[in-house]
Amino acid sequence: MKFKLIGLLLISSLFGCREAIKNDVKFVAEQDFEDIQFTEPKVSNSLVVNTKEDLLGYWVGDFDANLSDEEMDTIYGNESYSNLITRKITFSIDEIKGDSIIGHSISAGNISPFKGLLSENTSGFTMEVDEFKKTKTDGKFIIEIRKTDSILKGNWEAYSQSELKIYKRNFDLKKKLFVYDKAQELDVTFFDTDKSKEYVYATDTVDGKVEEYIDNEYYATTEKLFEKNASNEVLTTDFVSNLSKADIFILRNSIFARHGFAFRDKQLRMYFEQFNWYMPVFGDVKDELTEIEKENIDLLLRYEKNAEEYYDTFGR
Amino acid sequence: MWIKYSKYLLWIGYIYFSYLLLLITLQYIPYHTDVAFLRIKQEVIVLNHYKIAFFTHVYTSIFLMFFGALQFSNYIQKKHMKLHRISGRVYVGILLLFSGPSGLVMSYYANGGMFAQVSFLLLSTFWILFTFLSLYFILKKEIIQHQKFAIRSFALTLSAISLRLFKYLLVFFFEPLPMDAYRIAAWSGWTFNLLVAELIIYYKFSRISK
Repeated sequence: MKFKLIGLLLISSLFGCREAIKNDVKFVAEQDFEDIQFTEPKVSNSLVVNTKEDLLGYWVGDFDANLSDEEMDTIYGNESYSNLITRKITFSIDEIKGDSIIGHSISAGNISPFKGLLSENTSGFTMEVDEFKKTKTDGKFIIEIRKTDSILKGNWEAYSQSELKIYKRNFDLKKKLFVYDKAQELDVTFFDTDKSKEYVYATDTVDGKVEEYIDNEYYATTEKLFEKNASNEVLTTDFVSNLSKADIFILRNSIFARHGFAFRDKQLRMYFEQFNWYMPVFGDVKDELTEIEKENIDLLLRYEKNAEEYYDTFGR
Repeated sequence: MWIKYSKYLLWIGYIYFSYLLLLITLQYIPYHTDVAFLRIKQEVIVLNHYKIAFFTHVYTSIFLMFFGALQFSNYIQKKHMKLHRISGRVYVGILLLFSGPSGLVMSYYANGGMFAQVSFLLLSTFWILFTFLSLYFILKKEIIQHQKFAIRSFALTLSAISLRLFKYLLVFFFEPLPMDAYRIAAWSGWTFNLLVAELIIYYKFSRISK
Protein backbone atom coordinates (compact mmCIF):
# COMPACT_ATOMS: atom_id res chain seq x y z
CA MET A 1 0.00 0.00 0.00
CA LYS A 2 2.71 2.40 1.01
CA PHE A 3 4.70 1.43 -2.04
CA LYS A 4 1.70 2.11 -4.27
CA LEU A 5 1.28 5.54 -2.77
CA ILE A 6 4.88 6.44 -3.38
CA GLY A 7 4.53 5.22 -6.94
CA LEU A 8 1.45 7.34 -7.54
CA LEU A 9 3.18 10.33 -6.01
CA LEU A 10 6.17 9.90 -8.24
CA ILE A 11 3.99 9.59 -11.30
CA SER A 12 1.94 12.64 -10.45
CA SER A 13 5.08 14.65 -9.80
CA LEU A 14 6.32 13.77 -13.25
CA PHE A 15 3.14 15.16 -14.73
CA GLY A 16 4.49 18.46 -13.53
CA CYS A 17 6.88 18.51 -16.43
CA ARG A 18 4.10 19.13 -18.87
CA GLU A 19 3.95 22.84 -18.18
CA ALA A 20 7.34 22.62 -19.43
CA ILE A 21 6.88 22.87 -23.01
CA LYS A 22 5.97 26.41 -23.57
CA ASN A 23 5.52 27.67 -27.04
CA ASP A 24 5.25 31.33 -26.42
CA VAL A 25 6.95 33.26 -23.71
CA LYS A 26 7.01 36.97 -23.87
CA PHE A 27 10.16 38.54 -22.69
CA VAL A 28 10.08 41.57 -20.45
CA ALA A 29 13.13 43.65 -21.05
CA GLU A 30 14.40 45.66 -18.12
CA GLN A 31 14.44 48.68 -20.41
CA ASP A 32 10.71 48.71 -20.95
CA PHE A 33 9.06 51.43 -18.98
CA GLU A 34 7.46 54.78 -19.34
CA ASP A 35 9.63 57.28 -21.04
CA ILE A 36 9.92 60.55 -19.22
CA GLN A 37 11.15 63.43 -21.27
CA PHE A 38 13.67 65.83 -19.87
CA THR A 39 16.29 68.04 -21.38
CA GLU A 40 19.79 66.69 -21.00
CA PRO A 41 21.53 69.01 -18.57
CA LYS A 42 24.24 71.24 -19.88
CA VAL A 43 26.70 70.00 -17.31
CA SER A 44 29.28 72.47 -16.10
CA ASN A 45 32.49 70.71 -15.19
CA SER A 46 33.20 72.70 -12.08
CA LEU A 47 32.63 70.69 -8.92
CA VAL A 48 32.77 73.78 -6.72
CA VAL A 49 29.97 76.27 -6.93
CA ASN A 50 30.89 79.89 -7.59
CA THR A 51 28.34 81.01 -10.12
CA LYS A 52 24.85 79.67 -10.71
CA GLU A 53 26.00 77.91 -13.89
CA ASP A 54 28.16 75.69 -11.72
CA LEU A 55 24.98 74.20 -10.30
CA LEU A 56 24.15 72.54 -13.62
CA GLY A 57 24.74 68.81 -13.57
CA TYR A 58 24.17 65.70 -11.50
CA TRP A 59 24.22 65.81 -7.72
CA VAL A 60 24.32 62.43 -6.08
CA GLY A 61 24.21 61.01 -2.59
CA ASP A 62 22.08 59.21 -0.06
CA PHE A 63 18.44 60.12 0.27
CA ASP A 64 17.94 59.45 3.96
CA ALA A 65 14.73 59.15 5.89
CA ASN A 66 14.17 62.06 8.24
CA LEU A 67 11.63 60.82 10.76
CA SER A 68 11.26 60.67 14.51
CA ASP A 69 12.71 57.65 16.31
CA GLU A 70 9.25 56.24 16.99
CA GLU A 71 8.34 56.39 13.34
CA MET A 72 11.64 54.80 12.34
CA ASP A 73 11.05 51.93 14.73
CA THR A 74 7.87 50.92 12.92
CA ILE A 75 9.81 50.76 9.68
CA TYR A 76 12.83 48.90 11.02
CA GLY A 77 10.51 46.31 12.47
CA ASN A 78 8.97 45.53 9.11
CA GLU A 79 11.20 43.73 6.68
CA SER A 80 9.27 44.68 3.58
CA TYR A 81 9.91 48.36 4.22
CA SER A 82 13.60 48.04 4.95
CA ASN A 83 14.54 48.89 1.37
CA LEU A 84 12.78 52.23 1.74
CA ILE A 85 15.30 53.56 4.22
CA THR A 86 18.47 53.46 2.19
CA ARG A 87 18.30 54.73 -1.31
CA LYS A 88 20.30 56.97 -3.52
CA ILE A 89 19.15 60.06 -5.26
CA THR A 90 20.43 61.75 -8.34
CA PHE A 91 19.34 65.36 -8.34
CA SER A 92 19.87 66.75 -11.79
CA ILE A 93 19.76 70.47 -12.43
CA ASP A 94 19.10 70.68 -16.14
CA GLU A 95 18.46 74.32 -16.93
CA ILE A 96 18.67 77.71 -15.25
CA LYS A 97 16.89 80.69 -16.84
CA GLY A 98 17.12 83.82 -14.80
CA ASP A 99 15.79 82.77 -11.43
CA SER A 100 13.82 79.77 -12.63
CA ILE A 101 15.31 76.34 -12.36
CA ILE A 102 14.31 73.12 -14.14
CA GLY A 103 15.51 69.60 -13.53
CA HIS A 104 14.64 66.05 -12.55
CA SER A 105 15.40 63.73 -9.74
CA ILE A 106 15.98 60.00 -9.98
CA SER A 107 15.40 57.83 -6.98
CA ALA A 108 14.45 54.16 -6.93
CA GLY A 109 14.19 54.26 -10.68
CA ASN A 110 11.56 56.97 -10.57
CA ILE A 111 12.37 59.86 -12.80
CA SER A 112 10.53 62.85 -11.50
CA PRO A 113 10.77 66.29 -13.11
CA PHE A 114 10.73 69.44 -11.00
CA LYS A 115 10.80 73.18 -11.39
CA GLY A 116 11.13 76.09 -9.01
CA LEU A 117 12.96 79.19 -8.00
CA LEU A 118 16.62 79.88 -7.45
CA SER A 119 17.73 82.80 -5.34
CA GLU A 120 21.23 84.05 -4.97
CA ASN A 121 22.67 86.08 -2.11
CA THR A 122 26.20 87.02 -1.21
CA SER A 123 26.97 83.84 0.69
CA GLY A 124 25.28 81.28 -1.56
CA PHE A 125 22.24 79.92 -3.32
CA THR A 126 18.91 78.59 -2.16
CA MET A 127 16.42 76.62 -4.23
CA GLU A 128 12.80 75.76 -3.69
CA VAL A 129 11.49 73.32 -6.25
CA ASP A 130 8.29 71.33 -6.72
CA GLU A 131 7.77 67.97 -8.34
CA PHE A 132 4.84 67.82 -10.70
CA LYS A 133 4.60 64.26 -11.94
CA LYS A 134 1.27 63.99 -10.11
CA THR A 135 2.03 60.81 -8.23
CA LYS A 136 1.75 60.30 -4.51
CA THR A 137 5.53 60.38 -4.15
CA ASP A 138 5.70 64.02 -5.30
CA GLY A 139 7.00 66.58 -2.91
CA LYS A 140 8.92 69.75 -2.36
CA PHE A 141 12.70 70.14 -2.17
CA ILE A 142 14.35 72.95 -0.22
CA ILE A 143 18.05 73.16 -0.91
CA GLU A 144 20.96 75.42 -0.16
CA ILE A 145 24.62 75.64 -1.02
CA ARG A 146 27.29 78.13 -0.07
CA LYS A 147 29.57 79.70 -2.58
CA THR A 148 32.97 78.01 -2.94
CA ASP A 149 31.41 74.91 -1.34
CA SER A 150 30.75 71.62 -3.08
CA ILE A 151 27.99 70.13 -0.95
CA LEU A 152 24.34 70.61 -1.68
CA LYS A 153 22.31 70.31 1.53
CA GLY A 154 18.60 69.96 1.57
CA ASN A 155 15.44 68.21 2.52
CA TRP A 156 12.35 66.88 0.87
CA GLU A 157 8.79 66.66 2.08
CA ALA A 158 5.96 64.79 0.39
CA TYR A 159 2.72 66.66 -0.35
CA SER A 160 0.49 63.83 0.79
CA GLN A 161 2.26 62.77 3.93
CA SER A 162 -0.35 60.31 5.15
CA GLU A 163 0.05 58.09 2.10
CA LEU A 164 3.77 57.44 2.44
CA LYS A 165 5.77 55.50 4.97
CA ILE A 166 8.69 57.87 4.68
CA TYR A 167 7.42 61.32 3.88
CA LYS A 168 10.46 63.36 4.87
CA ARG A 169 14.00 62.88 3.73
CA ASN A 170 17.21 64.87 3.84
CA PHE A 171 20.42 64.71 1.88
CA ASP A 172 23.96 66.00 1.38
CA LEU A 173 24.74 65.72 -2.29
CA LYS A 174 27.99 66.00 -4.16
CA LYS A 175 28.30 66.88 -7.77
CA LYS A 176 29.48 64.01 -9.88
CA LEU A 177 30.25 63.98 -13.56
CA PHE A 178 28.93 60.93 -15.29
CA VAL A 179 31.69 59.05 -17.06
CA TYR A 180 31.09 55.75 -18.75
CA ASP A 181 33.85 53.32 -17.85
CA LYS A 182 33.68 49.89 -19.40
CA ALA A 183 36.23 48.51 -16.94
CA GLN A 184 34.01 48.82 -13.85
CA GLU A 185 33.85 45.45 -12.14
CA LEU A 186 31.27 43.54 -10.15
CA ASP A 187 32.59 42.07 -6.90
CA VAL A 188 29.51 41.43 -4.80
CA THR A 189 27.22 38.41 -4.94
CA PHE A 190 23.67 39.16 -5.94
CA PHE A 191 20.82 37.52 -4.12
CA ASP A 192 17.20 38.23 -4.64
CA THR A 193 15.64 38.76 -1.22
CA ASP A 194 12.17 38.26 -2.68
CA LYS A 195 12.90 34.84 -4.11
CA SER A 196 13.92 32.30 -1.56
CA LYS A 197 13.13 28.74 -0.67
CA GLU A 198 13.24 27.21 2.74
CA TYR A 199 15.41 24.17 3.13
CA VAL A 200 15.69 21.75 5.96
CA TYR A 201 19.27 20.90 6.69
CA ALA A 202 20.34 18.08 8.93
CA THR A 203 23.64 17.80 10.77
CA ASP A 204 25.05 15.22 13.08
CA THR A 205 25.90 16.55 16.49
CA VAL A 206 28.70 15.34 18.70
CA ASP A 207 26.47 13.10 20.81
CA GLY A 208 25.25 11.26 17.72
CA LYS A 209 21.87 12.91 17.43
CA VAL A 210 20.69 14.42 14.20
CA GLU A 211 19.80 18.05 14.41
CA GLU A 212 17.61 19.72 11.86
CA TYR A 213 17.43 23.38 11.08
CA ILE A 214 15.79 25.52 8.47
CA ASP A 215 17.74 27.81 6.23
CA ASN A 216 16.89 30.02 3.30
CA GLU A 217 18.30 29.53 -0.12
CA TYR A 218 18.13 32.53 -2.38
CA TYR A 219 18.04 33.05 -6.08
CA ALA A 220 21.69 34.05 -6.26
CA THR A 221 24.69 34.44 -8.49
CA THR A 222 27.71 32.14 -8.46
CA GLU A 223 31.44 32.90 -8.44
CA LYS A 224 31.40 32.74 -12.23
CA LEU A 225 29.83 36.18 -12.32
CA PHE A 226 33.17 37.73 -11.40
CA GLU A 227 35.12 36.03 -14.16
CA LYS A 228 34.11 38.22 -17.07
CA ASN A 229 33.12 41.79 -17.78
CA ALA A 230 30.32 41.96 -20.32
CA SER A 231 31.18 45.52 -21.36
CA ASN A 232 34.85 44.84 -21.92
CA GLU A 233 35.05 41.62 -23.90
CA VAL A 234 32.93 39.50 -26.18
CA LEU A 235 31.53 36.61 -24.15
CA THR A 236 31.84 33.12 -25.54
CA THR A 237 29.00 30.62 -25.85
CA ASP A 238 31.08 28.20 -23.80
CA PHE A 239 31.17 30.60 -20.88
CA VAL A 240 27.56 31.77 -21.03
CA SER A 241 26.09 28.30 -21.47
CA ASN A 242 27.17 27.21 -18.01
CA LEU A 243 26.02 30.26 -16.06
CA SER A 244 23.13 30.19 -13.62
CA LYS A 245 19.99 32.13 -14.46
CA ALA A 246 20.95 34.80 -11.92
CA ASP A 247 24.49 35.10 -13.33
CA ILE A 248 23.13 35.78 -16.79
CA PHE A 249 20.58 38.22 -15.44
CA ILE A 250 23.13 40.28 -13.50
CA LEU A 251 25.78 40.12 -16.20
CA ARG A 252 23.32 41.52 -18.72
CA ASN A 253 22.09 44.26 -16.41
CA SER A 254 25.63 45.23 -15.40
CA ILE A 255 26.01 46.56 -18.94
CA PHE A 256 23.09 48.91 -18.42
CA ALA A 257 24.39 49.83 -14.96
CA ARG A 258 27.74 51.00 -16.36
CA HIS A 259 25.85 53.34 -18.66
CA GLY A 260 24.09 54.94 -15.71
CA PHE A 261 20.72 53.30 -16.26
CA ALA A 262 18.26 54.00 -13.44
CA PHE A 263 16.81 50.62 -12.53
CA ARG A 264 13.22 50.42 -11.54
CA ASP A 265 13.43 46.86 -10.36
CA LYS A 266 13.95 46.96 -6.61
CA GLN A 267 16.39 44.03 -6.50
CA LEU A 268 18.57 45.37 -9.29
CA ARG A 269 18.55 48.85 -7.86
CA MET A 270 19.58 47.67 -4.40
CA TYR A 271 22.28 45.48 -5.90
CA PHE A 272 23.92 48.08 -8.12
CA GLU A 273 23.65 50.87 -5.56
CA GLN A 274 26.28 48.97 -3.57
CA PHE A 275 28.90 49.96 -6.11
CA ASN A 276 30.56 53.34 -5.87
CA TRP A 277 30.85 53.61 -9.60
CA TYR A 278 27.13 53.17 -10.15
CA MET A 279 25.31 56.40 -10.86
CA PRO A 280 21.65 56.18 -11.87
CA VAL A 281 21.14 59.06 -14.26
CA PHE A 282 19.41 57.83 -17.42
CA GLY A 283 16.05 56.34 -18.19
CA ASP A 284 17.18 54.94 -21.50
CA VAL A 285 20.69 53.95 -22.51
CA LYS A 286 19.94 51.87 -25.60
CA ASP A 287 21.69 54.28 -27.94
CA GLU A 288 24.84 54.36 -25.83
CA LEU A 289 25.64 50.65 -26.00
CA THR A 290 28.87 49.63 -27.69
CA GLU A 291 29.05 46.91 -30.35
CA ILE A 292 30.58 44.47 -27.85
CA GLU A 293 27.79 45.16 -25.40
CA LYS A 294 25.06 44.74 -28.00
CA GLU A 295 26.53 41.44 -29.04
CA ASN A 296 26.78 40.26 -25.43
CA ILE A 297 23.25 41.36 -24.59
CA ASP A 298 21.97 39.41 -27.57
CA LEU A 299 23.81 36.26 -26.50
CA LEU A 300 22.90 36.64 -22.82
CA LEU A 301 19.26 37.23 -23.67
CA ARG A 302 19.10 34.02 -25.68
CA TYR A 303 20.49 32.01 -22.78
CA GLU A 304 18.36 33.88 -20.27
CA LYS A 305 15.23 33.01 -22.22
CA ASN A 306 16.44 29.45 -22.60
CA ALA A 307 17.12 29.17 -18.88
CA GLU A 308 13.72 30.58 -18.02
CA GLU A 309 11.87 28.22 -20.30
CA TYR A 310 13.88 25.04 -20.19
CA TYR A 311 16.24 24.85 -17.23
CA ASP A 312 13.82 23.11 -14.88
CA THR A 313 11.62 21.41 -17.44
CA PHE A 314 11.47 18.23 -19.46
CA GLY A 315 13.62 19.07 -22.46
CA ARG A 316 17.17 19.91 -23.39
CA MET B 1 -1.64 -6.16 -7.61
CA TRP B 2 1.10 -3.63 -8.17
CA ILE B 3 2.86 -6.06 -10.52
CA LYS B 4 -0.36 -6.87 -12.34
CA TYR B 5 -0.94 -3.25 -13.25
CA SER B 6 2.68 -2.30 -13.75
CA LYS B 7 2.45 -3.22 -17.41
CA TYR B 8 -0.35 -0.72 -17.95
CA LEU B 9 1.45 1.92 -15.94
CA LEU B 10 4.46 1.44 -18.16
CA TRP B 11 2.32 1.99 -21.22
CA ILE B 12 0.68 5.07 -19.71
CA GLY B 13 4.09 6.47 -18.88
CA TYR B 14 5.32 5.69 -22.34
CA ILE B 15 2.36 7.40 -24.00
CA TYR B 16 2.67 10.39 -21.69
CA PHE B 17 6.35 10.95 -22.46
CA SER B 18 5.79 10.38 -26.16
CA TYR B 19 3.16 13.07 -25.96
CA LEU B 20 5.72 15.41 -24.37
CA LEU B 21 8.14 14.63 -27.16
CA LEU B 22 5.39 15.40 -29.63
CA LEU B 23 4.91 18.80 -27.97
CA ILE B 24 8.63 19.45 -28.30
CA THR B 25 8.42 18.54 -31.99
CA LEU B 26 5.46 20.86 -32.49
CA GLN B 27 7.56 23.79 -31.31
CA TYR B 28 9.31 23.60 -34.66
CA ILE B 29 6.12 23.69 -36.70
CA PRO B 30 5.83 25.95 -38.61
CA TYR B 31 9.48 26.03 -39.61
CA HIS B 32 11.45 28.46 -37.44
CA THR B 33 15.16 28.70 -36.84
CA ASP B 34 15.06 30.90 -33.76
CA VAL B 35 12.79 29.10 -31.32
CA ALA B 36 13.24 26.80 -28.34
CA PHE B 37 16.47 24.77 -28.43
CA LEU B 38 17.61 26.57 -31.60
CA ARG B 39 17.82 29.82 -29.69
CA ILE B 40 21.07 28.58 -28.19
CA LYS B 41 22.25 26.99 -31.46
CA GLN B 42 22.42 30.21 -33.45
CA GLU B 43 26.09 29.74 -34.34
CA VAL B 44 25.51 26.42 -36.08
CA ILE B 45 21.97 26.74 -37.38
CA VAL B 46 23.34 28.95 -40.13
CA LEU B 47 25.21 25.93 -41.52
CA ASN B 48 23.08 24.29 -44.17
CA HIS B 49 24.01 20.73 -43.32
CA TYR B 50 23.18 21.34 -39.66
CA LYS B 51 19.85 22.88 -40.59
CA ILE B 52 18.97 19.87 -42.75
CA ALA B 53 20.14 17.42 -40.08
CA PHE B 54 18.29 19.19 -37.29
CA PHE B 55 14.92 19.39 -39.00
CA THR B 56 15.21 15.88 -40.44
CA HIS B 57 15.90 14.59 -36.93
CA VAL B 58 13.08 16.56 -35.30
CA TYR B 59 10.45 15.76 -37.91
CA THR B 60 11.22 12.04 -38.35
CA SER B 61 12.28 10.80 -34.91
CA ILE B 62 8.87 11.31 -33.35
CA PHE B 63 7.46 8.52 -35.55
CA LEU B 64 9.95 6.07 -34.07
CA MET B 65 8.18 6.41 -30.74
CA PHE B 66 5.07 4.98 -32.38
CA PHE B 67 6.53 2.31 -34.67
CA GLY B 68 9.15 1.29 -32.13
CA ALA B 69 6.56 0.59 -29.47
CA LEU B 70 4.41 -1.49 -31.83
CA GLN B 71 7.31 -3.90 -32.32
CA PHE B 72 7.26 -4.92 -28.68
CA SER B 73 3.57 -5.72 -28.42
CA ASN B 74 3.21 -9.46 -27.72
CA TYR B 75 -0.26 -9.35 -29.15
CA ILE B 76 0.90 -8.00 -32.51
CA GLN B 77 3.87 -10.36 -32.62
CA LYS B 78 1.59 -13.39 -32.11
CA LYS B 79 -1.54 -12.47 -34.07
CA HIS B 80 -0.44 -9.95 -36.67
CA MET B 81 2.99 -10.93 -37.89
CA LYS B 82 2.41 -9.01 -41.09
CA LEU B 83 1.87 -5.77 -39.18
CA HIS B 84 5.04 -6.47 -37.18
CA ARG B 85 7.01 -6.81 -40.40
CA ILE B 86 5.59 -3.69 -42.03
CA SER B 87 6.02 -1.45 -38.98
CA GLY B 88 9.47 -2.94 -38.43
CA ARG B 89 10.50 -1.94 -41.93
CA VAL B 90 9.16 1.56 -41.39
CA TYR B 91 11.05 1.82 -38.07
CA VAL B 92 14.33 0.62 -39.55
CA GLY B 93 13.83 2.69 -42.69
CA ILE B 94 13.20 5.96 -40.85
CA LEU B 95 16.02 5.29 -38.42
CA LEU B 96 18.73 4.21 -40.87
CA LEU B 97 17.90 6.72 -43.57
CA PHE B 98 16.87 9.79 -41.61
CA SER B 99 16.91 9.97 -37.80
CA GLY B 100 20.17 8.07 -37.30
CA PRO B 101 22.45 9.83 -39.78
CA SER B 102 20.98 13.24 -38.92
CA GLY B 103 21.56 12.52 -35.25
CA LEU B 104 25.16 11.68 -36.03
CA VAL B 105 25.67 15.01 -37.79
CA MET B 106 24.11 16.87 -34.88
CA SER B 107 26.26 15.01 -32.33
CA TYR B 108 29.32 16.61 -33.81
CA TYR B 109 27.91 20.05 -32.97
CA ALA B 110 26.42 19.11 -29.58
CA ASN B 111 26.42 21.60 -26.70
CA GLY B 112 28.65 20.84 -23.75
CA GLY B 113 32.01 20.57 -25.50
CA MET B 114 34.05 17.48 -26.30
CA PHE B 115 32.74 15.59 -23.28
CA ALA B 116 29.15 15.72 -24.48
CA GLN B 117 30.02 15.43 -28.16
CA VAL B 118 31.78 12.10 -27.64
CA SER B 119 28.73 10.82 -25.77
CA PHE B 120 26.34 11.80 -28.53
CA LEU B 121 28.62 10.48 -31.27
CA LEU B 122 28.75 7.09 -29.51
CA LEU B 123 25.00 7.13 -28.97
CA SER B 124 24.28 7.81 -32.66
CA THR B 125 26.78 5.24 -33.83
CA PHE B 126 25.44 2.50 -31.55
CA TRP B 127 21.89 3.44 -32.43
CA ILE B 128 22.50 2.98 -36.15
CA LEU B 129 24.65 -0.11 -35.62
CA PHE B 130 22.21 -1.98 -33.35
CA THR B 131 19.28 -1.17 -35.61
CA PHE B 132 21.19 -2.40 -38.62
CA LEU B 133 22.21 -5.61 -36.82
CA SER B 134 18.63 -6.25 -35.79
CA LEU B 135 17.62 -6.02 -39.46
CA TYR B 136 20.59 -8.12 -40.55
CA PHE B 137 19.81 -10.98 -38.16
CA ILE B 138 16.14 -11.14 -39.04
CA LEU B 139 17.06 -11.37 -42.71
CA LYS B 140 19.30 -14.30 -41.73
CA LYS B 141 16.36 -15.67 -39.72
CA GLU B 142 18.28 -15.59 -36.46
CA ILE B 143 15.35 -14.63 -34.28
CA ILE B 144 17.16 -14.52 -30.91
CA GLN B 145 19.94 -12.27 -32.18
CA HIS B 146 17.33 -10.14 -33.94
CA GLN B 147 15.44 -9.70 -30.71
CA LYS B 148 18.53 -8.83 -28.72
CA PHE B 149 19.56 -6.07 -31.07
CA ALA B 150 15.99 -4.82 -31.44
CA ILE B 151 15.87 -4.37 -27.65
CA ARG B 152 19.18 -2.49 -27.73
CA SER B 153 18.05 -0.29 -30.60
CA PHE B 154 14.80 0.62 -28.90
CA ALA B 155 16.60 1.25 -25.59
CA LEU B 156 18.65 3.89 -27.38
CA THR B 157 15.53 5.30 -29.05
CA LEU B 158 14.13 5.72 -25.54
CA SER B 159 17.12 7.84 -24.58
CA ALA B 160 15.09 10.66 -26.16
CA ILE B 161 12.95 10.39 -23.03
CA SER B 162 15.56 9.44 -20.44
CA LEU B 163 18.01 12.16 -21.44
CA ARG B 164 15.37 14.82 -20.88
CA LEU B 165 13.93 13.14 -17.81
CA PHE B 166 17.32 12.79 -16.13
CA LYS B 167 18.04 16.43 -16.79
CA TYR B 168 14.69 17.33 -15.24
CA LEU B 169 15.37 15.20 -12.16
CA LEU B 170 18.95 16.47 -11.78
CA VAL B 171 17.74 20.05 -11.77
CA PHE B 172 14.81 19.21 -9.52
CA PHE B 173 17.00 17.65 -6.85
CA PHE B 174 20.40 19.29 -7.16
CA GLU B 175 20.03 22.49 -9.19
CA PRO B 176 23.40 22.18 -10.90
CA LEU B 177 24.69 24.72 -13.39
CA PRO B 178 22.86 24.20 -16.69
CA MET B 179 25.73 22.84 -18.75
CA ASP B 180 26.89 20.53 -15.96
CA ALA B 181 23.39 19.05 -15.85
CA TYR B 182 23.44 18.66 -19.60
CA ARG B 183 26.79 16.88 -19.62
CA ILE B 184 25.71 14.42 -16.95
CA ALA B 185 22.42 13.75 -18.74
CA ALA B 186 24.24 13.37 -22.06
CA TRP B 187 26.09 10.33 -20.71
CA SER B 188 23.63 8.86 -18.24
CA GLY B 189 20.69 9.29 -20.65
CA TRP B 190 21.72 6.43 -22.90
CA THR B 191 24.21 4.36 -20.89
CA PHE B 192 21.54 3.74 -18.26
CA ASN B 193 19.12 2.57 -20.93
CA LEU B 194 21.68 0.27 -22.48
CA LEU B 195 22.44 -1.21 -19.07
CA VAL B 196 18.76 -1.91 -18.49
CA ALA B 197 18.55 -3.40 -21.99
CA GLU B 198 21.43 -5.78 -21.22
CA LEU B 199 19.74 -6.82 -17.98
CA ILE B 200 16.49 -7.50 -19.81
CA ILE B 201 18.33 -9.49 -22.46
CA TYR B 202 20.20 -11.48 -19.84
CA TYR B 203 17.08 -12.17 -17.84
CA LYS B 204 14.88 -13.00 -20.81
CA PHE B 205 17.22 -15.18 -22.86
CA SER B 206 19.04 -17.01 -20.11
CA ARG B 207 15.68 -18.41 -19.01
CA ILE B 208 14.77 -19.52 -22.51
CA SER B 209 18.05 -21.32 -23.07
CA LYS B 210 17.63 -23.37 -19.88
